[in-house]
Order: sequence, then C-alpha cells, then structure tokens
Amino acid sequence: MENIRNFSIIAHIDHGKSTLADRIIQHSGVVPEREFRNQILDNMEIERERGITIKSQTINIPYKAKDGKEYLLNLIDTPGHVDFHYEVSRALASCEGVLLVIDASQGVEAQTIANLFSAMEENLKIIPVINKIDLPTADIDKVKEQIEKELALDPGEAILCSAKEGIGIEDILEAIVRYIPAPEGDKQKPLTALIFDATYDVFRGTIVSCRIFDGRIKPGDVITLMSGNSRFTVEETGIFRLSRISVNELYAGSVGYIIAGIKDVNEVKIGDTITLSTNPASSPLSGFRESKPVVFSSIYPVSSEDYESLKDALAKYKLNDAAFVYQKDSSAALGLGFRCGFLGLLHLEIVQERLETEFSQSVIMTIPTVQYRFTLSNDQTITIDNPLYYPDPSKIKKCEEPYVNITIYAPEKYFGAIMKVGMDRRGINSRFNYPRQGQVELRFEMPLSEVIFDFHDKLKSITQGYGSFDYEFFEYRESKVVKLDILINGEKIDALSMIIYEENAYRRAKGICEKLKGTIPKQQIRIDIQAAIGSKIISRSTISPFRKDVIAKCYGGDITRKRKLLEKQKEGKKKMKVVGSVVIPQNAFISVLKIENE
Amino acid sequence: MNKPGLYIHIPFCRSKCPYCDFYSIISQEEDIEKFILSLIKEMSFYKNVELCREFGTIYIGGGSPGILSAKQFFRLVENLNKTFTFSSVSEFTIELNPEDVSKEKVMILKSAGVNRISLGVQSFDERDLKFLGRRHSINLIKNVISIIKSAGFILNVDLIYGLFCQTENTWLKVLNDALSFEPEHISAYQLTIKENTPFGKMMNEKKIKESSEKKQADLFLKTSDFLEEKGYVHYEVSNFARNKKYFCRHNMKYWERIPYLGLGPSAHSFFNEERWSNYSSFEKYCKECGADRLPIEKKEKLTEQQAKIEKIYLGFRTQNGVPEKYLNGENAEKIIKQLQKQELINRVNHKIISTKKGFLVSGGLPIYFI
Repeated sequence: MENIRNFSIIAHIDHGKSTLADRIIQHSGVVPEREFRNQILDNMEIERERGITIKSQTINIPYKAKDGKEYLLNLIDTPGHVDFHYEVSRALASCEGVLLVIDASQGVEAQTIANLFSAMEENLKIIPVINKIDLPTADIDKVKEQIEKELALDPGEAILCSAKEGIGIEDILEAIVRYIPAPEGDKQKPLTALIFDATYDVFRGTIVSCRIFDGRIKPGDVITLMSGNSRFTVEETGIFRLSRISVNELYAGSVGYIIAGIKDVNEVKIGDTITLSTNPASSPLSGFRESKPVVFSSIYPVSSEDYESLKDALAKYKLNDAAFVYQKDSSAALGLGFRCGFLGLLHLEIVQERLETEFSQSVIMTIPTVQYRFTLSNDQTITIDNPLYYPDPSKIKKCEEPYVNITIYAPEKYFGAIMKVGMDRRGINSRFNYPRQGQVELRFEMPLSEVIFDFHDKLKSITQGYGSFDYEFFEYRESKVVKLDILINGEKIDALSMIIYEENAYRRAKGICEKLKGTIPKQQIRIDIQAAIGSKIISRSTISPFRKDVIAKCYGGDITRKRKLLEKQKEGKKKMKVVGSVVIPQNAFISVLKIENE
Repeated sequence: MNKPGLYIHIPFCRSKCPYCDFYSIISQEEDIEKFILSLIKEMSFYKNVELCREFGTIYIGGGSPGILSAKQFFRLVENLNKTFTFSSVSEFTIELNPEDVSKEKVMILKSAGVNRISLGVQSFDERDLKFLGRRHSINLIKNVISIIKSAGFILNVDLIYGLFCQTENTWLKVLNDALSFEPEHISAYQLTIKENTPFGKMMNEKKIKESSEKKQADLFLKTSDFLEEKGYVHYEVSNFARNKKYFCRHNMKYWERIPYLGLGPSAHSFFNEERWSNYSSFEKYCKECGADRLPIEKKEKLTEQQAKIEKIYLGFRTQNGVPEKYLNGENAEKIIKQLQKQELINRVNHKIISTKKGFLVSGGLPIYFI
C-alpha cells in the first residue's frame, strides 16, 4: 500500500490538463509509442472536439522512482464542467493528492481557485504545476508569487513543466511519489469501496470504477451497494491500463474496477459504497448524494420515421450515462419523442451531440425547462417539467420554482457587470468577497430557470471569457409564471412553448420572435411568427417570402445541375422540420435559448 | 409526338457575350473543319442504335450556329440525313444571331428543312445592346426579321431583360417593338449574372450590379401580364408562344422528360432514365471522337427518387404542372393549401400547376415535396 499513489489532475480550462495526462502516461511506457493518440484519456469524440473531459477515465501507471522502488500511480481523471460537480467531487474523494496545473502565461484563474477549493474540501495534498513554460509569454516568477499569495501554497513545491515539449514530466512523477501520501486503510476491516464511475461494456455489463478504502475484494465475493441494498456476485476485479487488466483482488488503497454481472449501469450510483454482504461495513463512506436531473427538454427525431431508431439510440446511450433520464413524450407539432432530464445545460448539449455524432441521429431538442411546483385550487400539489402539461391557469393557486445558490468567480473589474446580470436574472441576497487580489467572488440566490437560460454565454461575454460559475440547488420559492406559446402561420408549435417568469414574458417573446425570424430561412410563402399568452398575442414578426427564386434557362437539356442542387437541399432538409407548411431548421428550436437578454 | 429530340451544339462564337456562361470558343476556320469531322464521327457512333434512329425534332444551338458557312451546314445536314431518319420531324430549329442572317443563308436553311429560327435579338434598345456586348444594330434586326418572316419561318425572338439600367418603361418598349413583328414565339430571359462570366467579374468589382429581387419580380410579372394581354401563352418560366401550336416542341422534350440525343461538345442526352453529357472542351471532344471513342464525360442512371425530383422540378417550370401523386412528402396537403392561398399554385385535374407568381419562385417549390 505504501507504493500506491492516487491522484488527479485539475486545472482551469485550456491550461493543459489533458496534454499533461498524455505525457505522464507516455512516460511510463504503458502505451506503445505507435498506439499513442494525443489526449488518450478523452476518448469520446465530443471530448476531443471540445477539449474538455466529460466522462472520467482512470489509468494505472507503474513507475520506478529515483529511490529505486516500484510505485503504482493511479491517475483518476475528472470531468471538467459545473454540471458534473458531483462526479468531480467523488473522483477527488478517491485520491490523496492532486496536480494543480497553472498556465505559465495566464496565471491563476477562476477555475484554478474553484478546483483548489474542491481539492481542499477532500483534504488532498496539492502540488502546483506551472505548465507551458516554453511559451515566450511565460512569466514564471509572477505565477510563483500568485501561488504563494493567492493560493497560499508553497511555491517551492511548484514544478516547472511543458507538457507539450515533455519538459519536467520526470520531476512531476517524482513529486507525486514524494509529496502525495500513500493511501491509508486497513485490509482486515470490512470492505468499503467508493464508486466514482461506471461504464457499460456490451459483453460484460457494467464496469464499476472504485477506490477501495478498507478491506479487500475478489471474484466470487457477494457485494452489497449500500444505498439500495442490491446484491451482486463479483466476476472479475482488475486495474485500468489502456485496457482492463484483471487482478486476483483489489485491496485497501487501490483503485480499479469490478465486474459483477450488473446488467444496467443505472443500478450503480456514483458516490455509493460497495461492501461485502457477508461482512458488511457498519456505515457507508460519507458524501453520497443521488444525482437528480434539474433540466428537462424533449428530444424528437427530425423525421418522424426515425422514432424507433432514436428510441434504440437513447437506450444505448443511457447505458453509459446514469445521470440521464428519459421517458416517452409526444407533440402535436413534432410527433413522437422523449422527455429527458439532465444535470444541466452542458449535459444536455453533450447528449444532443453524442446522439448526432455517435448514433447518427438527427434530433430536435425543445426549450429546456426546470421543474415547477404548482398548488391548485383543490390544494393538490403537482410538479411540472413539461410545458405541455401546464395546468389550467384559472386553477393555479400558487406556483414555486427552484432556486440555486450560484457562485461566480471573475476578475474584479467585472464586478459591476456581473452584479447587473445577477440582478437582471432575479438574483437576490448577493454576497461577495475577494478571495485574492484582483479577483472577486459573488454569490446570489437565483432561480435555476435563469441560470439555464443562456447564463453561461452571458457571463462569458460580459467577462471576456474570464468568469466562471458554479451552482447548487437551494430551495423552492414562490414565483409567478405564465406559459408562453409560439405560433407559426397561426399554428401553435407546442415544442416551442415555455413556462416563464411573468415579468420576463414580453421581453422574451420579442426576443424569440426576432430570433426565429433570423433562423427560419426565407421561403416561398410568407411566415407569420407570433408569441402568445393564452389567446393574447404579445409579440410578432414576419418573414417575407422570396420574390424571385428560379433560374431563367435550363439550356440544351442540362437538367442535372438543378437536380443536383435539389438533392443537396434535400440532404439539408434532414436537418429541417416541416411544421404545417413551414420548413423550420432544427437549430431554430434551440436558438430561442440563445437570446441576448437585453 | 414523343419521338426523341436531336440537339447539336455548335461551340463557336465570333465574340464572347459578357453574360453568357454556355460553352463556346472564338473559332478559327480550321477549328470548324475539325469540329465538323468530329461531329460526323460522333453521329456514326449512334448510327445503328435503335433508340435514336428516328427523331421528332432537331435543334441546332450554340454558340453561334450561324457561323457555319453554307457548305459546312450542308455537309452537316447531309450527314445527319445519312445517319438518322427525319421523316417525321415536325420542328427543325436553328439559333441565329442577326449578323449571321442573309437572304441566301435563309433560303439554304429553308431548303435543308429548317422551319424555325430562334433569333438572338436580346433587345431593341441601343443602350441595352451595347451593355450586353451585342454586335448588331436595331436597323439590322428589323431587316433580318423581315427576311425571316417573308421566307415563312416560325420565328422565336430571344430577349434578355432585368438589366439594372433598364426601367419598366424601356423594357415594355422593347417588348412592343418585338410584338410589332408578330413573332410566333418569344423567349424572355431574365439576366442572371453568373460567377464565371465577364459580368460576374464586373459584379465582383462592383462595376455593375444585379437588379433588386423586387424589381426582377415586378418585371417578370409585368412581362407575363403584358404578353398574355397580347394573346401569348406563358407556357414555361421564360417562354411565350402565340398559341399551343408554336410551343417549342424540342424544348418541351427537356421539360417533359422525353428522350433526346445531344451531339457536340457539352451536349446533354437523356434516354431510358439515363443522362449523359459530352466533354465541354472542344479539344477533348475532338480528341475522343478522333480516337473512335464516344466523347462522353459523365453518365448516370437516375434512381426512382432522382427521376421524381426531376418530374417535380420540371413540372413546376411549365404549364403542365406536377401530377398530384408525386407530391406526397410530409405535410404535402397542408403545404399545397398554403401555396394555393398565396396564389403560387393551382390545382387542376389532379395536377398542381404553378401560377405566374409560382413560376417566379418555382426553383424553391420542389424542396417542400422531396
């Protein structure tokens, strides 16, 4: 156990976390050079594209240190976004230390601090790593000063590195061995293993990633997942190299995987504790929380013929994403589809992109909404997360909506702008402090509905990309909402309906009408767009039709050129939905979300 | 009536018009000789092909077919007669520019069986003609038309409109001048500025501009109203005829998907749901023919789906319309109703037919149904 080191790498976005992970793995030689792909841990297409880690991956790296001893380093990768806050915390809870990567020219930034706090919460050893020292703009002294003054860490421990150039990797590995404590734990005690990830394998079922705190586990053991008391028999235990490698047992301090005939990944909850049924631990590890969807949206196939194929794709997708929930839904405008729940807006976008890139689905997603709580005149309380089921307004006695505690980090000079956005978004009880010089931290209590409506983009734009935020569910509070409907050529597009704070309705309606006008292409017929509350039209816009759209001459029997053009348009139409007599591009449905809130 | 059409492309011009993107080159005498030899070779490839033994229409286009001398023209026709059967040809058109017309030439054409002349007039306004880079004068045009008319040809007057220097009044005057000769047929093409033409280049350099969409649309509708009032039938987007008898039968084959054979560089052919086109390059064309190979560059067999797309798009271009049975996409019925409401189409005997307003946007109608 004294030769094991469990660690994570944390960083502000783009400070080079994935590249550093690559280099560490490469250095260890576990991956033959020719099989090496950059950013080996981010193996989902979308992660490579966006350069962010969504699903954590773990890898076990053998390392012979300068002290002559052989060590086993477990690198536990963490997802990099606010929606996955809880998953990050469980991954960190499985470590004893972290590498805190800081860009040598950018210096300490918002997420550096946020990440540092997360690591401190888990009492982890923090090793600062100054990356990208090869850049001409690198200012190592300044970063060291920031490390000392702003992070209150020992700049003497900071390691200089350029992951890109492979500089300093050896020093990092040595520091991991030297500074990060070996795991503690008792192999003789009853088993406690923390689940920090679960993925699905077509042949083996659920692969549970876990950190063993006490005890040991081997094939044949009967285990209990403590949050639900479900039991399984262990078929295989192992560690992660580039592929899974089975080992005879996992014991206290180690990180690895368990295969136990768990057919459905959804039976496994991140943060849950595994123990042995025959000799159970008296209490589970602390920090377990069931992740619940907070953002809801419907997914429809662009072409209604593709419903079955979408259904299959969702079922397959779900196998690897326990946080995603869905059920059948149907819309008059869009036909059969699914109502889905997500951890947040990024989670939603990830699901959409993965359905499109990995499962080749063409989908339309409707306006995301939160879960509202209505008390009706007969004192019955109902929760609604779908505008289709909005109750009869005359019967609503009281409405409540979820509030979150939102924390925003940004350079101090954006204080005023953030304050204004916070107040525009109905943020109240604001508090602020200066965690370090030049940096401000603001907190608000804010309706979640305001956060999921374009907040991320807004914050990025007013802080020129320097602001970041985090939020946590707080409580339900009374609110006054209405249902806003969108009509196109007189036909209500139910998939565009939304539940909205009454005072925002006019402004939003105007924005949506304008946005749709900009997103729906000009067509052969005039398109009237209206926004209504009940039967009252509160905003409208018009797309005037083409005046002329024809080629004068198809000369000498050349029919092919125009036909090819039509075939191309037909291909493009797969991304469009014909609603009534209007062709609506798929992105129109989501574009209404990206409206400047002014 | 459904016999295939024969198209022959003469790829030579005396000069290149700045708006034209059809294939043509400025010829030398020896090029023309070389071309005729190649063309005769190309014909021979089709000599014993059952499908194209007999034709219903002939159309000699270009380029400027008028560039051929009487001798060259006779050689061409002689060889056509040796290769194919023309006993039931009802329409034999040649395209001519006014500067290529003389009494003698017209007589020769007549004796060779040509019965329709499509005259590249383009305008009756000096300023327009200069802008379009045409070589002929108004007086010449008037002279030429009377020669053609008195020789008893069916006359098509080719006109171009929508020039940005043109007003509604100057254009209507052009139309009026055209009507004074009582042509059986008028093709009125709205100027489209194409990227790969001198006009395209000038537009990029902002020396000229296209008329606004609204102006183009207004002129189009005005043209249609005006000619209909004078008794012409607006039977295709850009084509008008004094009556049904004078619809261009050859061009109708393109729009009705009746087979046709195209000879010469860049010519297109269509038989048995198969489309092919010849090399556009004159050199390449001659080289292939010289090497006893068909000068075909591209060939494709249409799928049922592709055929349907063509039927829809061509149908919306003509008065024939599109049979309802082809219009069965998602929400087709709703869309038809909406298009009817906007007066873009009519429904007649299970056919959906573009109105003149519909012609104007017919390029965008098929996408609703495919």
